[in-house]
Amino acid sequence: MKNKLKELAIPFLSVLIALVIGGGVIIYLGENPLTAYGYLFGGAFGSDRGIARTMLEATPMIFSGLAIMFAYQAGMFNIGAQGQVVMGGLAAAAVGAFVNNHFINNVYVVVLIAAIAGFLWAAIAGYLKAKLGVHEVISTIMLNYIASNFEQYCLNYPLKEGGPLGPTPQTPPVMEISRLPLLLPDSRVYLNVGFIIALVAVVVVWFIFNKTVFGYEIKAVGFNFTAAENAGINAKKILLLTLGISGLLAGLAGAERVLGGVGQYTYRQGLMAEYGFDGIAVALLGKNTPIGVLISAFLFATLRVGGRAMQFNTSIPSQIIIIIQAVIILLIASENMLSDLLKKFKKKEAKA
Amino acid sequence: MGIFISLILATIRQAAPILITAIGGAFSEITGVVNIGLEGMMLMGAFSAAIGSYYTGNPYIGIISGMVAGGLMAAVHAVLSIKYKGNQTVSGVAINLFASGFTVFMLRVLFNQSGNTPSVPKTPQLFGMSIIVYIIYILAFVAIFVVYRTVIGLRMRAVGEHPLAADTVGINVDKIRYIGVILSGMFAGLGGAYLSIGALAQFTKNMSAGRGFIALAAVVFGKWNPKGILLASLLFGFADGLQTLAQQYVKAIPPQFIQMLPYVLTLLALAGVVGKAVAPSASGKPYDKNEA
Repeated sequence: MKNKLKELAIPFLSVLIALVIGGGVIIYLGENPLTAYGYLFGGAFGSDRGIARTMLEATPMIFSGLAIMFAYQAGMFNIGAQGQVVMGGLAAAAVGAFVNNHFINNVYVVVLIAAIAGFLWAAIAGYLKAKLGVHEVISTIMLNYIASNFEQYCLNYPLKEGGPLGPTPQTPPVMEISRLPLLLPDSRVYLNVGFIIALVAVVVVWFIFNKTVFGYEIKAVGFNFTAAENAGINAKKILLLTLGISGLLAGLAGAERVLGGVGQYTYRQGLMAEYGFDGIAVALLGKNTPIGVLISAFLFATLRVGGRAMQFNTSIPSQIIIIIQAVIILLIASENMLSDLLKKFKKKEAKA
Repeated sequence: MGIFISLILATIRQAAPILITAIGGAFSEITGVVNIGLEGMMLMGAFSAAIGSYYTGNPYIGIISGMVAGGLMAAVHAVLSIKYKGNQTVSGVAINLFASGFTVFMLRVLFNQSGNTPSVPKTPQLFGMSIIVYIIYILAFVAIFVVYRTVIGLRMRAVGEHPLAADTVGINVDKIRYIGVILSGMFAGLGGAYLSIGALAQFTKNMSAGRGFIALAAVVFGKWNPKGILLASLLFGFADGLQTLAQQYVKAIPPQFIQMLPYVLTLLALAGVVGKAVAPSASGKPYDKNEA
């Protein structure tokens, strides 16, 4: 119990310190941090619509956070979630907007196809890692850039609305049958079934790691590759599969963005933002557990949605949120520093 | 013929920021600290160089500001990695995230813009290239000399290969690592300065565009050896130069595919050299005297 508390204390402390540092910056810019943070949390939680927006914003982060944690369990750092999000989204847009066959462009089939696209894109890095020993951090970074160029190619040529000479680099909207049903059809917030799928994914991932042999094998490989191999686990296959599944989860994030209506059901420039990279922050803050991912995705979504409200009402640029996120990750990277701090604090308390 | 010469010049120019950042990355890695944050250090360098040049009107002060900013970012990475034995990859990722957020944040605060700074004084040109290019190549050759011909270079490599042995003969492992990591940030900052006040005369959002990561790949591809890194950087510079030229002359292939070239090449290069490339054995592992 005490250990559990300590595990929670470090993420909590990281967030708190990062908010205090953010507050310092806000004061420096001549605003009142309490008012600014008031707008931030008010914007994210103050109304039904705000809450729905935060849930919508959290959805891709849950997927990409799960993606990062999934690979992390096997000892791999999947920096390539962003590319996998893009590939999933492109697959969803290509099928949803261009394939006129009701067996194939049925929303759940499209989601599946997007998941497979994410799987395959990540599996390239998995293959390079398993067969040739290429470090996944570098290969997935390169795959990100290749994916982002491929995205620009698709939006400007084969998938472009109105053909290559069309007015803007975006796809036509996906067909009705390929759209994820909305949870609040009357609101202007496009909260959709993707959110439910994300929650299901949290449960499935939790189940895999806590109740299945496969999950146990992944953790064994992550803990000690050689020992796992000696114990008869096909460690290379596990690496490939794990990275593939990680990409599958990221691909779902891309599918939700296109099929869920956030961008009026089209894939347009900038739609995928930085969701793959957000996943890194989410997984790290969530201590690489599914429940942790869920909670931290909500936290980051709150910051994101609230950050916009804050920018609207004050002179603080919303990028302060990225700085706060970075500080949180830095603090988590140096958890020894925080536990030193906690210890010192306790000693002082004991003396007093 | 004209195209051939402009390709050689483009190679030399485009290789420069990758080369200096990669040499910096090697300094960090041979002393045993992985530095994924090169991209962010480069971006901060580019931003600070533009800011320094803008406010003083002196591009040389811009160069120094870029190097100092890169060095400061690296110092954060060094403290987390060396003193607090944190996860080096995670810290590097955080630095990249910080740099991308911080630079856009400051663009808004200082200039009320989100894409770029106003135009700033650029460094002088010599034979059609920014003097930063010359500084970079001179510095790179000095670095090769230092690592392979001097005592400090020997110590750096010793600390990365076998910190315990180095410690036993009286080398201050932590101090050498701080030097390696902070130098890597300063070099990446110089690479960034080339982008904003050497090649262009302004900072634009995310202008490092993956060069820090390509530099990281050049370190691996060059097998942690300065000469190899020089060749790898020239190869990537060539791909980059070819890409720029091809966009002007080749209209049959969509530009997005040509832009992919350096990244695809990096991927192929990494896949090709593996097995032969061996990282310094202590790279990425925190050193703790009491545990060793």
